[in-house]
Amino acid sequence: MTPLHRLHPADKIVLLALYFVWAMQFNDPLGVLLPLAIALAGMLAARAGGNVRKALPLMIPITVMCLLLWSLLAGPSRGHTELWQWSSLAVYREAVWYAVAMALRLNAMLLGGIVFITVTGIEELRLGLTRLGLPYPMAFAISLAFRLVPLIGSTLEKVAQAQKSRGFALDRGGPLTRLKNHAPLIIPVILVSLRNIDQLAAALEARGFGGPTRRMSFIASPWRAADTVCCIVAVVIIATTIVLKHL
Amino acid sequence: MAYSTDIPAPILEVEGLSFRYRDAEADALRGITWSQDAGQFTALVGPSGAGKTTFCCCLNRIVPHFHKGNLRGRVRVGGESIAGKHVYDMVPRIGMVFQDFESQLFSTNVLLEVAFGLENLGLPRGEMEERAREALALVGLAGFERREPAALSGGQKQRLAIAAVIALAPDVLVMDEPTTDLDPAGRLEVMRLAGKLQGRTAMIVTDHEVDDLAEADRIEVLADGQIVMSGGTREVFARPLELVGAGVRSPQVAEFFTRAGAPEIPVTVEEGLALWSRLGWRIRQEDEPAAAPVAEPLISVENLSFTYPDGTQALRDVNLAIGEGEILAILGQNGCGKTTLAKHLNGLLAPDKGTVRWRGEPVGGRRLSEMARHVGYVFQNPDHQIFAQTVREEVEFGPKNFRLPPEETAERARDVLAAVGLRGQEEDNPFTMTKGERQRVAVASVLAAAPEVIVLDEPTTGLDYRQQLEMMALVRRLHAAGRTVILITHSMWIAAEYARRCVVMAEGRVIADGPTRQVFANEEALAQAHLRAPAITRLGSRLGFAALSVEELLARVERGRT
Repeated sequence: MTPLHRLHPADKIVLLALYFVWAMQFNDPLGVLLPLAIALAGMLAARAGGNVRKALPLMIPITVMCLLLWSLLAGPSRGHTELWQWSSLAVYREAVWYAVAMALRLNAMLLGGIVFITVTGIEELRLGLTRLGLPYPMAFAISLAFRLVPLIGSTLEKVAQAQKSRGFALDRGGPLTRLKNHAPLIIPVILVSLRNIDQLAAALEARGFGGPTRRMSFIASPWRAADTVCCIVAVVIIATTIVLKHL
Repeated sequence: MAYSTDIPAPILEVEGLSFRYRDAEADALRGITWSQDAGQFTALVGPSGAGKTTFCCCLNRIVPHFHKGNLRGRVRVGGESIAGKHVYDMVPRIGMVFQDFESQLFSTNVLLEVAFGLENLGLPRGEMEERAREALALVGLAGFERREPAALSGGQKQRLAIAAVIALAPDVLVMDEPTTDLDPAGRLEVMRLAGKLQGRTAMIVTDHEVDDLAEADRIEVLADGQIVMSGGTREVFARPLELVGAGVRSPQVAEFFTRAGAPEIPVTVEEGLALWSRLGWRIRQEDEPAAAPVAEPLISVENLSFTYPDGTQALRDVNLAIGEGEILAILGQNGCGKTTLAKHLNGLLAPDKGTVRWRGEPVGGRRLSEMARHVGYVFQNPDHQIFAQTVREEVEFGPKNFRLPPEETAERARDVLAAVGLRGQEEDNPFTMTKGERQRVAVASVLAAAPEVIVLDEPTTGLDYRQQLEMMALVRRLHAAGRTVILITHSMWIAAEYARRCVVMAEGRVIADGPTRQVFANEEALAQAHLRAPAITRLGSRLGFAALSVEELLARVERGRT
């Protein structure tokens, strides 16, 4: 348990939201290094390195996509220093610069999200969301999504193995064929997941979910001075950034 | 609980309960009448589709709230009618544990899992903690509070699901097939727990089979929505042929003595031995036919080791040779490495160390799609592969992937559907079929690639007795037609009756390998793998002949003075 773990769940949600708003204020590569540095510091403080490593297979392709797309799409609106041209397609230095900033910003935000998940259990997330005024069933549904992702992932793995054992190869044919090829994977995953969710719903009600009794929370998480301080510091930083940006 | 001298009112009274699912053509329950006292443990057995789950769901109002339909009859819990109540209103009265423990658990740790229901009851925090810890201690999970439910074994997960319900202090604990998805060690854990709860709370436990239910006070047998047999456990066990008639596998010892014409019907192995010696019966000794010489191995596994990316070492230096035309079973608990081993045979997994050879050539160098044509793999859950709208399309999936010509694809689909007994159902939708039929569709779809070897991973799990017999008759036909068959199973009687050779695994190693009779007589190796030979084999072993089926022992018995 790090000090970040001990923050009040509602505080953690507020801080994450504020962090996202703050990071969105930066769109040049040097400026973005600031939120990125904060996210990295958060990662170290939360000992989230392991989770970040697990997320790398997702983060790397996102980064590459982001670099490619913004380099091509940011276009001449940002500046006209041409780096490379081929018929009507041109890549400008300013666009590439912007793409680097966007990729760094996206990674900073992903890191922030990973730090949040690392220090917040799903029950805490639920508690935090209800404390922020969300009705319990909605908070529960959101927190359940986190639980279902790995479950669906493991179903997908089993389905993929079963279909591969029947000679199924995904990487065949053109893009349209490939999309159609996904049916043997997607259909069983959806059906098995729907059945699981149906059973879960019944099991939840059989344990009193949705009843008229006022619910009590088992996890106790008092709001402490540190939570207030964190909130104030975050708000001050954002306000300062916005003011400086518009001066 | 204080016992008074008054005759207590039953805790659960059911009168003329009938239910028809919306859109169904027949009633799932037909006039069930049931009465249960506090502290009584009743087993409800019957084949798939008999209505066991429907009955359980009627008690806590999942029927008709989740599953709609026409419900008739009366249910009273603790003298109070449950008509008009919602599922959550039933919480302090009926506690329900479902078969699929995976989908019942959703919390970050064990303690929070148990606390979830208590939170819903709105109890003060101190009481929640007290009740949760008490329930965990009762199910033997004290000390596991901070563990992640996903990291528990199957038996532990199901015990956790039970703790989460017991903590709510229900009047009646209903467990719907709590052991079906468990390995033998897990089943034993759950049934021991049921024994411990006996007398504390009224309990209803459903199952396809009676094997694990010897501790129950009563057995009710359900078939086709009606109770067809009912009585004290011993009394029902001693009517094995009626049980089989209702679609339930009979307890082997009772079946043996009934069919052998004994004057009384013992139920346990010990009782059987006592009766045997009183009757003065003997075993006729015969020479065992010599084992057929092992052919050139089709598959050979040499010094195979494998570790999953999460660090779990699943296989440790495994050596195994599988000859052409063998029918062998790989036995062991979940996590012992049997599925991991089987996944190396068609190249789904690649060894860390060691080699797997197919006809002398390493599998490693081949494409999975090529190996899949030699070694067919039927996964445990048919729902993990079925995706097509029709049986035909599902079965033709493999041949099409292997790019066989359309005429040959169609011909193969016809042949394999005939082989699995689904001819005439080509255009049916697999999703509306029973589990047993879906399992056969899965087998057919793997057979369609005409593999020389077929691996069946837990082919009988979740099937009832008749479906199991049908599935195994199919396996036997495939073997007779020249296929090499590898069964991965927990079911000891299936291995005993159908496999010629057994391989026992524990903790990633092969600890016994040989002809089935020899392996099943090796009680030490079985115990090391937390397995136990079927009752008839244990009885036979003590008499000097490790019979693998009731028929085998019947063929050897010499009745003395009867």
